[in-house]
Amino acid sequence: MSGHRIVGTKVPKLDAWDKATGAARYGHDVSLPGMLHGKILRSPHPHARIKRIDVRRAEALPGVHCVLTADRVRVGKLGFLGDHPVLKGDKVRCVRDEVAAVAATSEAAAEEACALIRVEYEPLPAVFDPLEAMQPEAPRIHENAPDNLVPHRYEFRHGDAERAIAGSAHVVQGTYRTQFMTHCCLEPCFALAAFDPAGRLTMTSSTQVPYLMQSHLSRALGIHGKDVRVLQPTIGGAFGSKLDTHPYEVLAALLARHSGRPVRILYTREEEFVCAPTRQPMIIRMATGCDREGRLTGRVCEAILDNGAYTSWGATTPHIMLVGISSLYKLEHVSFRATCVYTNNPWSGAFRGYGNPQGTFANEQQMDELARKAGIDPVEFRIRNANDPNSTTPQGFRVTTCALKECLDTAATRVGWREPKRPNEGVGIAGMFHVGGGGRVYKSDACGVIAKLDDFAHLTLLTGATEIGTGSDTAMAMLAAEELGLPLGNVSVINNDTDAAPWDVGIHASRTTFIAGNATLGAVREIRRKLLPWAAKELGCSEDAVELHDGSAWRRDDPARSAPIEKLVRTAHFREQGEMFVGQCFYDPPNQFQDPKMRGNVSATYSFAAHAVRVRVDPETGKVKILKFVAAHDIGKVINRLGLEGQIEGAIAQGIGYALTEQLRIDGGRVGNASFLDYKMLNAADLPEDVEIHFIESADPAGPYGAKGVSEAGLIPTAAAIGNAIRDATGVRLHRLPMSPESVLAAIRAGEQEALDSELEVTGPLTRSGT
Amino acid sequence: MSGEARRSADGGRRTGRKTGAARRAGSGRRPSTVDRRPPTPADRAPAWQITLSVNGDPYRVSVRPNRTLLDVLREELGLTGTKRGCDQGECGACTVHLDGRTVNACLVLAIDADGSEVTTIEGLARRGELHPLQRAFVEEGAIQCGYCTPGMILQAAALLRQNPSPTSAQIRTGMAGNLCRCTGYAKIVKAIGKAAEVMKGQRKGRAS
Amino acid sequence: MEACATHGPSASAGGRVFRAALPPFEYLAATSVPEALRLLAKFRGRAVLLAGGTDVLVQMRTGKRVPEAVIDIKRVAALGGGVKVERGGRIAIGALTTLADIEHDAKLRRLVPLLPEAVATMASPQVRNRGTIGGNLCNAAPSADTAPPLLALDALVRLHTRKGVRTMPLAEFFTGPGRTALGTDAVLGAILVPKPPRGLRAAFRKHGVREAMECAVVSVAVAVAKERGTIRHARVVLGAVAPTPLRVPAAEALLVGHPGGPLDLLAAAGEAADAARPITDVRGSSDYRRDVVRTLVRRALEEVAG
Repeated sequence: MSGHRIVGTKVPKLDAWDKATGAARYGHDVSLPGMLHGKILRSPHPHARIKRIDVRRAEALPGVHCVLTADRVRVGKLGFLGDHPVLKGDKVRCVRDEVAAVAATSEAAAEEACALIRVEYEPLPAVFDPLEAMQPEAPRIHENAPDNLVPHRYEFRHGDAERAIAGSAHVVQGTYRTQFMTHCCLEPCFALAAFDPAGRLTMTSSTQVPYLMQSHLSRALGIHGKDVRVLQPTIGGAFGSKLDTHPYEVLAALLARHSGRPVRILYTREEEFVCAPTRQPMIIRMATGCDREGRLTGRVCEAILDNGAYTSWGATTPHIMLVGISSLYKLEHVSFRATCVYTNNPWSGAFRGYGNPQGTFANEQQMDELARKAGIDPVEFRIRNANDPNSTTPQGFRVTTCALKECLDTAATRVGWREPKRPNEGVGIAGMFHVGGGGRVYKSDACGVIAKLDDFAHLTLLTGATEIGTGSDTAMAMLAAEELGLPLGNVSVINNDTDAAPWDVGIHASRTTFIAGNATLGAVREIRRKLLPWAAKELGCSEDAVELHDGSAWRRDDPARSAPIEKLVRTAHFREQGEMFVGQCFYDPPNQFQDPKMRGNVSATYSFAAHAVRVRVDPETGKVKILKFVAAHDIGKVINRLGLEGQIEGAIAQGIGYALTEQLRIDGGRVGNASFLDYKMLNAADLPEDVEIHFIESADPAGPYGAKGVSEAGLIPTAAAIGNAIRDATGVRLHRLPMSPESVLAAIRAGEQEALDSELEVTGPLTRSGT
Repeated sequence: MSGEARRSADGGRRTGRKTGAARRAGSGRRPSTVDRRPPTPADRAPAWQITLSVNGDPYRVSVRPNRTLLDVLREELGLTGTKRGCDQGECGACTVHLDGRTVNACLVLAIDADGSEVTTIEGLARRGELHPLQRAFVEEGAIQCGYCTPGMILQAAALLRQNPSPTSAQIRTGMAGNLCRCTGYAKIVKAIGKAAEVMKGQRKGRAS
Repeated sequence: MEACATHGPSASAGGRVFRAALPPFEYLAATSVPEALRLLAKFRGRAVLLAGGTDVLVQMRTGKRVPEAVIDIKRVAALGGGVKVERGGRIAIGALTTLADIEHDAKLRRLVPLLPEAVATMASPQVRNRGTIGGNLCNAAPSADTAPPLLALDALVRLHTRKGVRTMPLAEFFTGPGRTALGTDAVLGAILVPKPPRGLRAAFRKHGVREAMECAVVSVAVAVAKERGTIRHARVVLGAVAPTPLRVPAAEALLVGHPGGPLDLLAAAGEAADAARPITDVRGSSDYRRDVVRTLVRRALEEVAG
């Protein structure tokens, strides 16, 4: 292990002690003197015109300070395309829609006031199926969006995929449908807004994009960005759900502005299920072909995304969805089109994996089916087509390090790919390709870090990189400690205040360990450069002969000679014309913003993985039991083994839920299962005991100490691997998520019927030939 | 009738571990008689005085009937370590010990906790020394966002009291009422197993 | 095309607000059965009895129940008493006995393991610590997990009314989803489980998406006693597939007098599936539930009669 003292070990999270003792302060735990409680009145209709709103009785209620409706405030719009009004004035487009907001002295009074608001609606025809919404006769949801098409197109063409498929020896085609999934952050949403007397807003938020939030709030509220400060308390889960600035956050600020008091809005769990964003359902039509030797020839994919009523950043998921479709395996000819369609469903957002889990569910099941058609073992088939290091994919991704073949081989071997199976057992495998070196989905993919070493050798990292539970803080601290030879306990990270910490584009795209890690190294290397001359002088040697470890500087040629780093810092501080040890780095990775044709090296490196799973299917109830799960990930380099395992284990659990149980049941635009009882997020008793995780260190030259991003990777191939295992166990292929017991049983029954039918078909010609 | 309908200090089934003094102190006197006007909005409903012991400290709190133990712990006593996750007993984030048994604090009326002993996550560490479960959760990486952690640890403590050497499967079933979205539970199960070992060692150490 | 106008209330309701607070109510703690009955009579259906509260408080929070008063009966000694074996072998379970106490009760585990086994599948340990068997029965969810085992054991319930104490078969207690023979003026005092027939073997099966914290999509309890290779006593009970937990006499009749061979069991399972009248909801479709009934009944019978 290349002589690292800290990097590569198992380290508890920096904040674990606070979290284990109840000392950590989350958004729900923060209150301010004089604070009012905000509540939101939402539409009862998925689509309706608002004719009249009467708030008089609400305003008359004791304790009510402020009632806001669209005609009482001037407020800008939100969302990727700016199509999302914070308060809905003319019409409502889904049941989430904010019609009024109240601030009162107690939550109960605010609720009561909301109930006293009278709104006259004129219900409008609504549409909930994206395919129907695209029809010319469908009700129009946004005036400026004909056929309910979100005015943002995703099209990619490389070679001639249609022709390549037509000339293929084997072709698989199918339509795959994925469901609404929701994040289920254990902490429901909250926002706390307060204005100081000079009009400066402090927004306490669990946002994943504090610096973008400054500009979102600035635009929405019509105040200058310098007058928006964002504070982040401990964040109780995010997973992409806080990649957008949401209406409730702006409403907290508006209520605070209009009441002159701090205002806090807390969601209930039911509200969270109904009103927090979802992973967008997709209808994916895909065809893939291969030649006689099992080499892929081409792929055509068309995806329809249920955008819901408004456009969040989630509408950009086709970018990341495409990476797996175009670049997991070697493909010469690819054609891809994705269309986001407005419906009167709750709007979709960003969720761990960002379109790639949906795409991979289709793409990796097709690989499986194609291997079967070609008569090639599915593992061998994938290895034959796997990308190689130092290659360029059709989208122009420069794959530098790539251990996909090793991942496939490890996962298959460990799951017992060739071992005998009992009745109703099956094995399945799926690979995945994802951004691993940032993802330039905004024009910037940068992160700033300022490091400062004090005269007790305590190192503070100031950064905009947000900690949402993934352990990115700890990884940064480990990198810094390793680089400066400090004990890990000497390092702390401050990253919860836009006033204090430098800029970061946000936590998404598995980017933080890679990007903020590189920024950290840049900053502490500057300190190191400043420190070495002091050490060299103290030790009486050249700078090249100095080593830093265990909190001291050492003479490499004479281990008896050392000087504590803190002493070096004090020496530099306590003298005339001294020096301070501060380093800074704005790391922007060598990757590209894609052109309108979806080309460009979007990430500085790419992550690969393979998941293999052994299942048993109950042929009479359709219930799928996972007997063994193996994940093999090319992560570049292990920084914190404990955190890394945790990221993969957690992502696998979410992936299993996505595959088998989780679904927000939305019928007629209304959520029918807005509780943990009926949403079916998995608990400890549901998840397999036998989960193996293997890391393959491909030592990426661009990564901090060789590391690549990993946080989404564990979710992406999971559903496809399970689908393939179900196919192996039952002979039937499921094209729709979740693969619930009911749908598995229905598929098995349909398969039995089909088998019966085909038997009858065989007897048909025989009979005819006899006559 | 008003006299009978009052929550009498000795009328409960709650015998067992409670001291008489604590129960008398927390006799749940309500300020008015039973026969009174129809229900009023929560803000105007009369409050009851309750007494409870939380992490060994005595508290007297004035509560309205529709307040839960969770409301009181977080909002009246400032013990925000107990988390609100769903308010329906489905996530386990608000798990506390009530007279030695774990409950979802969101499903216990505060009035109903009158005279009880409550342990929250803030009361688990002794004199700054982390409980073996807290230590194991930290060291095994069983914590990510951490919102489920206090409830997890308190449920695990009850589980280990009932079954000091649980199998993994028993841990998984015993923890089924505590949802975690981050970890996939693997490290939580491992941490509980490790804490069980440590606690067995401690008991042996004390016995010898 | 599914696009359709939605016709909801327009001017009357401003919309939806997600309430965090429990609605206000009057809290009354009864200390005796007569007092509880008096309070119930006084509020005439506008009060709800509170025992463990694990169902009632959720229903109040989600707006499914908005009582004027909550009558806490937790400290009514006559409704407690835990688990007692009476002379003659009948088991009496106080209505206030918690699910956790039932799950771990040594007597029940020895005499009628079916009940503690079923209880162990319910909700979470935290809810079982608080929730009571009486509460589970009085809540009268079609999916209540204590009901099928108790019905399979021919349990009776002891009710306290203003006219006195009366006992009725549990089978008559459930009158519809969320409705029982208690009406609004009676209190469930105890559950009585007759001494099981000699050699009774019983099994509980529950199907849900999750392994725990799960509301049954289908549940099944069967109980069979054989004499010299012939089934002499049979009970087949279904949960979550009808407005109330459902005993299936037709299936039982197909078993009694037969050896319990594979065809007997298949026939009984088919009869149970025919008897089921499941609804379609977010937890499962009617067809699926009926299909699962057939499988679960057959498997449960294979365990006890095979």
